[in-house]
Order: sequence, then structure tokens, then C-alpha cells
Amino acid sequence: MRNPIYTIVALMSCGYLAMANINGWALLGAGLSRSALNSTSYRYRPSHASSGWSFGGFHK
Amino acid sequence: MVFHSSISISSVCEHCRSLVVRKDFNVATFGQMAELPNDLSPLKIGTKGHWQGRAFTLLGRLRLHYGDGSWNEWHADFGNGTFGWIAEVMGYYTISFSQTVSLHGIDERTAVGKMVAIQGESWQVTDVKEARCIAAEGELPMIAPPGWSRLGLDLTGPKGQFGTIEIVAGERSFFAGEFAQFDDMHFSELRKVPGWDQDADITRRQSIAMSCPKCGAPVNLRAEGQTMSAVCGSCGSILDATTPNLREIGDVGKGTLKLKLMLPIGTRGLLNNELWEVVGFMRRKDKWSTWDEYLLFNPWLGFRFLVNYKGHWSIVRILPGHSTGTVWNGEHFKLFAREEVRTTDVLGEFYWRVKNGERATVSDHVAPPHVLSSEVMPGLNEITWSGGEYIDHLEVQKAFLRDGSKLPEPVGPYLNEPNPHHHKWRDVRGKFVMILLGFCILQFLFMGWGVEKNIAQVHASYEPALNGQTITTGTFKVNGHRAPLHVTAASVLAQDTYLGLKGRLVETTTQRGHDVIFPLANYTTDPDAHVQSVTVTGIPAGEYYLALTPDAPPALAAANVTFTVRHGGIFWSNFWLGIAVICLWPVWTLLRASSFEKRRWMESDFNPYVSNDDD
Repeated sequence: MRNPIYTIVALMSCGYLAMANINGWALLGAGLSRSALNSTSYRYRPSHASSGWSFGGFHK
Repeated sequence: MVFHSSISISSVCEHCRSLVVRKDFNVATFGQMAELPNDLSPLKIGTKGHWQGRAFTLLGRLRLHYGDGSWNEWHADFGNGTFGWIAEVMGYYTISFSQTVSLHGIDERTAVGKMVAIQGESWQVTDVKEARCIAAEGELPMIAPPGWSRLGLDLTGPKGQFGTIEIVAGERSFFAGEFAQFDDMHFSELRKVPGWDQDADITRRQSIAMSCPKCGAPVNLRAEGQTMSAVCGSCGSILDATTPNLREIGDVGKGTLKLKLMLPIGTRGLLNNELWEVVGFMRRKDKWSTWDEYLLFNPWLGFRFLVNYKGHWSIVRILPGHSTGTVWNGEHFKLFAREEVRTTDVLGEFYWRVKNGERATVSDHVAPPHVLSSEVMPGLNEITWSGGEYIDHLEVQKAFLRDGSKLPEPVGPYLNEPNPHHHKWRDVRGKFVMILLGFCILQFLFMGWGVEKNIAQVHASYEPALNGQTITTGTFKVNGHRAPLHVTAASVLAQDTYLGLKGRLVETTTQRGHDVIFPLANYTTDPDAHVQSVTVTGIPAGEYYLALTPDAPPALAAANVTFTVRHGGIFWSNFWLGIAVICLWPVWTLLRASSFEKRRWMESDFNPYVSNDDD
């Protein structure tokens, strides 16, 4: 068989997709990081709308 | 004398070499033919074969000589009173038959390169030469007495056909047919070739060593009768190999005899299951580079060139009848280089009158692993086409170097080197397409499986006394298979206040929890921050509630928060991650292939990756 490693990895991707969809898993883009849990950045008003939280923002 | 065929008019007596001509029931002699010069032709009188389904037998031959060499014309009896001519020249063959056509406007003054109309088709004159018969054997369908000569105009037809117009004493005859390879004619009952067949007879002349007329050193012709010039390995004189006394016709450069060849002259090797002998060597250069060409010989297959440049090797053969640089064997070629080339060194023997310092304009067209080259000699209105194929240096090494020595590794990309990354791409593309398609279908099927549904709405209230304490929501039930849980918190907050809710989503039975945070706020610069969502992966069926610790400024008097809970759906990040993994290797090979092609064409005068505007 040519490219056995590629074949195995690609088939594992298919297997992973099926398992992740069945179990509601996600490797990327879901769950909270430790820094997000400890963050208090919501206490500060962002300087511009839709630009995220900025350093040196207004402190309440 | 026995005439085996009714179409034979003359025959050469095998005892006294007299040319005997039959007229009705009588015979007459027309002088004595010279002894045939020795050659390594695998054909002989009596050899049988078949061409395009028609069987033939060789009955006789003429040896024709012109200024630069000689060739064999075999008289082939096809039965039923028909005959053809099989010419054996420079290792390839032409087979032609007499045609009755109008040759209006074509005569001995018709020049090489001119297009002529024959039976409504346009043929190109490729060669014009006067040849005389120097020897003959067997039965012939015409009378060719000693010294008989004919002017021949060789032609190439619009479909690559072979043709020749023969002019003898003003009489013009047209013969048309095809160029052919040895295997095309399915020969049998062949001659045993001296030096190649173990039980071959050694003829008288082959037992006599020839010597250089200049220095007296012995000269061993390896392709006798096929080559026209040879270099004396002792003094470097270029000798005329078509004359018995090896007349001197030139000499090689001073340093040529000191050259150490990678493949020594006389070496034999089995390449692609064909046995070849190295008989000649040329070093050629253009204004950019120098390369070597080894001439290989096999009595049945003719000549090939083994071309070496910086460790890259190609095996090349002449393509008689070929006339275009764009297509060969159905494959399309691109022009890669066009340069004036000079031959700086020659050793061994050649099927043409080789000259030291010989110049030619060479154009190379490529479709890796193939190369299609044209060569135009100055002053000659004739283009010689050759086609070659890249060959791994280890194959050449295995074939010709059996003493354990090694050929240098190839350096850099070469004009017809197969793109190694294209090969990897071709290996993987089928699997890639199938797996990618399967992967997309799988995700499509799961789109119906994982539909997101609203399952509950729960509430929590904040007041300053609860700051830092844990507040809980009501419980809600999650049913069905494991799936993501999406919780959206929404609250109406006073201007420039916030309410951070950090805590856990807790399963009531096991008390297992998942971290969540809802950083609710109401700022003029972020008006949407009063609604916050959290997605928790892989939540199974069960009863859950939210346990949260509020973090709010003293100014916030109270707030009610509504949590909307949805269950189900699929993560597209899994799909895109899988796509990235599946595409990684194929895309990498394609990028490497593209990079290789760019580096290959950097060496070209006609680089398609460089805009003409840059010139």
C-alpha cells in the first residue's frame, strides 16, 4: 500500500469526526481556558466597540 | 544459378561474384561485383519477417555508398509478384514500395527543405544525395552493375511517412513507406552477429586488425559497417571508418585522449533489458554549460545516446521522420532551451563524420521524463530530431559499472528529470479525493443528526449581599445522546455596570461540574455585552443546575439573569480540523512540486514563470 501513514491519518480524521459529532466533542473553539476563568477584564470598559478589551482601559 | 523469385531479374553469383542477369530463358553476365564490406548487420539473405501482416523474405542486397558513408538496401520478396526495399541505415530501418505517381516538377535540382506535392499530399525533401552501388549479393529486382549510381531524394510525408525519389539516367521512380524499428518487422532466421552471438562465424576480414594510418596503432571498430568515423585511441586522429585503409580525416583536441570517461569505450551494459556497448563519446558545450554524450550500439537496435549532465542521465534515440517540437507519442512538449552547441572532444566511433569543434543549433523541448530535441547543422537545411527519456543514474551505474565504482549523484533539477513531488502527488491524489469526499459526506450526514434544541430557561437574581456568595439556578433536564450544551445568559444592567458570573454547570446526581463564566456588562462601547454565551462539550443526559459566584461593583443594586439552555448541534471546528489534516500532505506535495518546477524552469531561456515584461 502506498502512503500508509497518510491513509491511516486521513482515515483517523474520518473516525475522529464521527466520534466527535456523536459525543459532542470539539478539539478547538469550545471550553474555557484557565485564563478566561480568572479574567476580570469585564470590569473595564473597552475603549472601542467590537474591538475587544484593551490595555489601559477605563477603570470603573 | 537458381532464381528463387519470379520478380528477380539479376543475381550475384556467390562463388565468383559475377552479376548474372536473366532474359527469358537465357542468362548474361554484367561484370563482377566487389566483395561486400564487412558489417554487423543482423540481416542476411533468407531472413524472414512480416510487416503490417504481410510476410516477406530477404533475397538480396545492395551496398550503396555516398560521400559520407554507406548503407544496405535489402530486396524483400512479399510474394505474389510484389517486392519492397528495406533500408538499414544508422541503426534504424525504412521499408518502402514502388508507387506509380506523377512526379511533376520534381527533379535533381529540387533542394533539401523544399515541399513537394505527391498525390495531393505535401512531402518535404529531407536529403538529396548521389549514391553508387559498391557491392551486392543475392537476387535483385533490377540490374545494378558495378559502378551503378542513382540520385536519391529522401522525403518525409505529412504523417511522418518515408519516401524516396530515385533518379537513374533521367528516369524517376517513387518509393513510399514507413520508418521502422527492428522489432516492428518481426524478423526471424537472422544472421549470428560476430561479437554478439556466441556461436557467430568470424569472417576473414574481422580477424584482421586494422591500424591507424598515422601512428600504426591497432584500431578496433566496434560497430563496423555502421560507423563512418573513428578516433585512434593512440594518436587522436579521426579516421574514415568506411574505407578499408582508415583514411585520416581530422584530429581531436590536445586534452581529449587524457579524458577519464565515466563509461569507458567498449563497456557493455544491460539497460532496460537491452544489451548496449559504449562505442563513442562526445563532450559538448553551449555558452552556459558542458555535458557528455556516450554513443551506444547494439546490432539489432542500432544507436542510442546516453547523455549526462551534472549526474543526470537520459537515453536518447534519433527519430527519423519526426518533424515537430510540440508533440511526440501523443505527449505535448514545451520549448526549454535553444542554444548554439559546440563539440569540444570526441572519442571512439560515430555513425557520421564527426569533427572536433563541430557546431549545431540545438533546441530542447520537454515533457518530463521525456525530452525532444532538434539539431540543425550550419549550412544544412536539415533538422535532425531525437527523443529521450530520463534514466536514474543508479540504473546506468548498475548496467555499466560492474567494478563497484559509483557515478556522481545528480545535482539540482534537470530539464527532463521527473518531478519527484508530482510522483508523490500522483500516488496520493486518488486516496485524497476519496477520503475528502467521504469526510464531507460524513459531515453532511451528521448535520441532520445534531440539531440544536431549546430545552430550558432558568433564572438567577443578584443583590449586593450575595456578592462573593454562590447563587444557584433551578434545575433542568437534558435528554438524548451526548451533545454540546449552549447556555446563554442575559440581563438588563444599569449603564456602565457589570456582573461577572463564574461557576459551574453541575450534574445533580454525581455533582460533577463543568466550568462556566458569563461576563455580563453594559458599556456604551460594548452594548451587546449584557448577553453572554457558553458552550460546554459532550454533555450526557441528566439533571443539571448552574452554581455561580457573582462579581459586581457596589453600584449595582440588583439584577435578574435569565439563562436559556440549548442542547445538540455539532462543532464545525472538528470538520475544518479534519479537512486541514487530510489536505496537509497532498497540499504539501503540490507546493513542493510547484517549487521544483520553478527551479527547473529557472534554468530555461523560456521560463513561463517569468513575465516577459521583466525583460
